[in-house]
Amino acid sequence: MDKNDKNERLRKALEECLNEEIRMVPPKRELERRHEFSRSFEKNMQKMTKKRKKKKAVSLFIKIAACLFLFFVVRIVGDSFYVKEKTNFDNSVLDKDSVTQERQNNGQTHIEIAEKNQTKEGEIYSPGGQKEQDSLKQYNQIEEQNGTSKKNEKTKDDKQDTNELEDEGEEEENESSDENIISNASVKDKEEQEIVSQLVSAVLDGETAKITVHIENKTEDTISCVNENKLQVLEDGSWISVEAPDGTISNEEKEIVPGEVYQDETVITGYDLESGKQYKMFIAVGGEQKEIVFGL
Amino acid sequence: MMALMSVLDTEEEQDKFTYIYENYKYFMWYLANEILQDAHLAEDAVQDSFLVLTRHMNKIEDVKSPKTKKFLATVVKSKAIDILRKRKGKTDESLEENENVISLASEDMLEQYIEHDSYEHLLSCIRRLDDIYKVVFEYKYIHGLSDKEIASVLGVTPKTVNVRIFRARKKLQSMLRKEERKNG
Repeated sequence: MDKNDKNERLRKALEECLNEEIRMVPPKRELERRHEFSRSFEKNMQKMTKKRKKKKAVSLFIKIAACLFLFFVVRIVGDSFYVKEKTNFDNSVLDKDSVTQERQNNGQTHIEIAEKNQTKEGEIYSPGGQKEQDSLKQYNQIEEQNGTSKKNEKTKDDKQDTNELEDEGEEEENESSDENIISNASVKDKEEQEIVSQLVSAVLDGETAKITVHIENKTEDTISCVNENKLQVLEDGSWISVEAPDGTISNEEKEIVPGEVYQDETVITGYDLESGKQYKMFIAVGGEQKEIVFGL
Repeated sequence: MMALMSVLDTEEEQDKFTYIYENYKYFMWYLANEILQDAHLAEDAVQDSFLVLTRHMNKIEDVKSPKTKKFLATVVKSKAIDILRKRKGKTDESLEENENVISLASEDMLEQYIEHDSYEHLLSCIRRLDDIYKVVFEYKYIHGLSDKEIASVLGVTPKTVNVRIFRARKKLQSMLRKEERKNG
């Protein structure tokens, strides 16, 4: 008989004993007559079922929040990519501006002449100098490199003067900086609209531990804060649930208005807490579960 | 994100929980009352068991199966034993003192006894085995839970579970040895 057979023999014997015990249990109808569950039991069980339902509602909320979070992350990443692209484009506009500047210097006299011609003769000015043509050629090359030859074509065709080109560059620059501001604002909003929870202190006095947590509501809504009555201890690198039927964790529900800073004080008794160990409790704040790790 | 979602309760688990509560609460209460001999404390044990079940619904597959009934029996018995031990002020340390005598006296020869002793002897010894040891055996051998899983259900450390299993083996071994001597 090998080890597995021996274990199987033990398992079979244990199962037979358990089956005997189960067979001894009278039918449900008889037990219903024999015992009536107390009101406190029914009430506690109802609470437990409700808690599960609440947990389910919270889970749905978390799922929706997760989707929204992903959406914003994708959007922010997209925005930053767009801003980067814009910056590259703006650099090219700067190059274009330098060309324009040169062009402006060289072509200033032509503009003046054109203005004079327009006022005197009513004709439209047409650029004709060699330098003017060279700078236009150089400008077009840069534009082509940056994939904006379409705009360039238009510029060329319209025969607009250098001042107009300069304005265009400025507008694009302004547009780009606007995008930057919007993108930064959305990140700032995200940073600002959150719930901050931070451990302040954890004090063990005899069998009672007092845990103080700083909670700050940075959202625009009033949020509720309640301890979830769960405690875990760190054992050999993994978190194990601590159960103490006689233990209590204070869990008074508190509403925190937008902008309010609240010091949550949780009193834990009857859990045989040991100093030098790491514990974790759970606080439900505004539909989020915050894990508070503390050492005693 | 996906891991977080998978941890959350499903509607199926909710239905399972409700079914178990409606159909097995009296069954669980009876088993707890057999150990505690107190109707109200037995209710506490049932409540504690449901608290454990909320976190371990994944271990229950078919709520109507005998397997589930056995698992519920083990859970409620273990919770009743916990209450009884707490009321008597017993700790694992106090048990350790008693069991050290057994551990010093003999090596782990349980497998040999299981092999050579009759099946009836084995059944008789298991019936007389302390409930605290019986439940850890049930969790391990009938329900196939690991030490870590048993620890999570019992609310103790995996090390404590390991020690309890070790003591349970020693105790059963000692009983089988006595049974063997008695029968010549």
